[in-house]
Amino acid sequence: MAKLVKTLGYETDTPCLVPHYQPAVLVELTLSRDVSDYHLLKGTRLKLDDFESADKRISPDQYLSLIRNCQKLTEADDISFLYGQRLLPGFYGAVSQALQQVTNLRQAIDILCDYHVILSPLYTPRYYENGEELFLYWTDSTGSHEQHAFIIESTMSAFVSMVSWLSGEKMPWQYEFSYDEPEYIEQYWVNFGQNISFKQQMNRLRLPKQFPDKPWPNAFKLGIHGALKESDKQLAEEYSQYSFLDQLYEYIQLHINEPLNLDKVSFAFGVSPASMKRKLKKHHTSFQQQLDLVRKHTAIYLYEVQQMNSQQIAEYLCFNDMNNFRRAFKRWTGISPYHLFA
Amino acid sequence: MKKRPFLNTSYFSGLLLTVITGFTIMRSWGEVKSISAINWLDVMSEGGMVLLACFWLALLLRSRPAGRVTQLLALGLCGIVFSWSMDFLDEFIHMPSTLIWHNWLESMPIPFALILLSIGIYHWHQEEIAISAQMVKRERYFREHRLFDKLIPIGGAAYLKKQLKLSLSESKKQQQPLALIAIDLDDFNVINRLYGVEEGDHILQLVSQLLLLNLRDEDLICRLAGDRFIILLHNTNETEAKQLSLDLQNAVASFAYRTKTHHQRVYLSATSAITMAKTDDSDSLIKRLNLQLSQLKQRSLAAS
Repeated sequence: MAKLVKTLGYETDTPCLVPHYQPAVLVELTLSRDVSDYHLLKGTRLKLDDFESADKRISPDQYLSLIRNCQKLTEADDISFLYGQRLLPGFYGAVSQALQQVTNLRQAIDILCDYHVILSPLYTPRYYENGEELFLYWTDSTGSHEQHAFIIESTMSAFVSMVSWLSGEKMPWQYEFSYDEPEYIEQYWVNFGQNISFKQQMNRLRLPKQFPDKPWPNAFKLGIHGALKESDKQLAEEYSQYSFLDQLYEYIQLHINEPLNLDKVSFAFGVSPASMKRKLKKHHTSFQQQLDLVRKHTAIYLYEVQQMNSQQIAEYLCFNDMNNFRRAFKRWTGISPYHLFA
Repeated sequence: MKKRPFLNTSYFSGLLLTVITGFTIMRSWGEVKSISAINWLDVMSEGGMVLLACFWLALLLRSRPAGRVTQLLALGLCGIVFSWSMDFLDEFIHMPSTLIWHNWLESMPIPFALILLSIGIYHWHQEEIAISAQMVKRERYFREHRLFDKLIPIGGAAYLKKQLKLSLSESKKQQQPLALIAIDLDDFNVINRLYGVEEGDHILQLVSQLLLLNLRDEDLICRLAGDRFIILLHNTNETEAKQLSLDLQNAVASFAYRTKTHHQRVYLSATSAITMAKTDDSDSLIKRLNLQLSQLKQRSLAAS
């Protein structure tokens, strides 16, 4: 197997994010709640001037500590939702312009996924669909650890609020969250409605299939092509179009029906197994966790889209023995395949 | 709301001046003790008392608005700080006991300080009663500032849940009907998007005041989350609750809000749902009410 990944994507300590994009929105929101900028920027190695500079780049780590400070200082459970409502389409150059002119939901999702490094740098959106529904799910791209609920809340409300703003329609989204029901569940009711479930396998949104292709009112077919070409230029100037964890996810996904191990994947990434381990540890994860995550997602995909049964899924994922598969599946998801695929 | 400067400097500078005067008087009449004659345990405990009293004074001045009551309390505390600091200096300077007034500096101010403090506390008590009267409709049975909403001066979701539990058992005991109204602004997201969160926050503050004005004294209003408010109506039947919820909707609709910066008129409207407490517990009651409200919103959206 030749080395497949040419340049490694951004990591949690790579200075690659534009401070006057998403981070500046957070700073402005927090300051409007009577928090001093001194306390907000404490420990982030950032100055208020940095948000006004055109060349400065900050790392996902710095962005995450900004989020941590914001949560601690505002002590408001609704801050993540309010933050989300201001994130999209946003003011992120040509990509934001393109988003404002989309013709339907499908195009909006395509743009969100293609330019995720600009639009959603901490959580990567992906989608798939079957005959009945569209599924849009997010995976952690930089190891957000303690801040993951905040980021999921803001990411999902950003997307849903943009969709209802641009389409002029409230769509019957169903919300699934991988974590436990939080204490401030009222915020979810008010911001997301009643179709919410916790302790699910993924952080994702579901929507009946008649919605993605319904035309939207403010579409601008001619303008969007120019805006998208300009967005491609914008994307080419980014440090990388993927994060390191994204690349790993995609590599595993591509080779899921082969036996995989740390050595093999490290070789493909052109790094030693030891430094691969170190990189993963920096993102609060391990090779096994990432492998299990992709296998879980693949299993769910195979069931929901390809309508395979447990036996077929086990075979696809290179399990020779059903008992082994059952045990492994229980480890990934917490429940047995028969329960999930009932 | 900006925070007041941490220290109200005039009290502290006055205090410092009197302590220095006291010190000079003691220094000129008494003699400094030798190191071996100093009782360090006393020094520690008396010094600690002075520091604590200074801390109380700082908290008092920082948290309370200026006024008569604050002045009385602060002067009382200043007297205590002064007399305790004289007591503290006493550990280092020996006053000859032949002097008639050798301990006046530390014991004379105390009664005056305590009298001032007592008058202050009495007026504080009166003030609390007056404030509680203003807090009616926003709290019942107990006060818990940690459960207050951070943005708006009414209780948050946690306060609501505690209140609802109490009200449920009370209404069961007295066999009175208990009604709940949920009221939610329509398209509040759009307001945040168009005018910014700061403007949105301001609207929420004003709307909560507006709703308060339209409630009876026995009712209690809390903010559940975002732009959704819940109102507890004691001893109220369904027709009355329905009327009240319509009145609230009308009040919101006729509220002429203009933005802070450009004085643009913002048109507001609200959707409300009501439910009667039956046999369910507080959690399922709130859940049911929310479900009802979302369905109403969905329906009004489909109709428009």
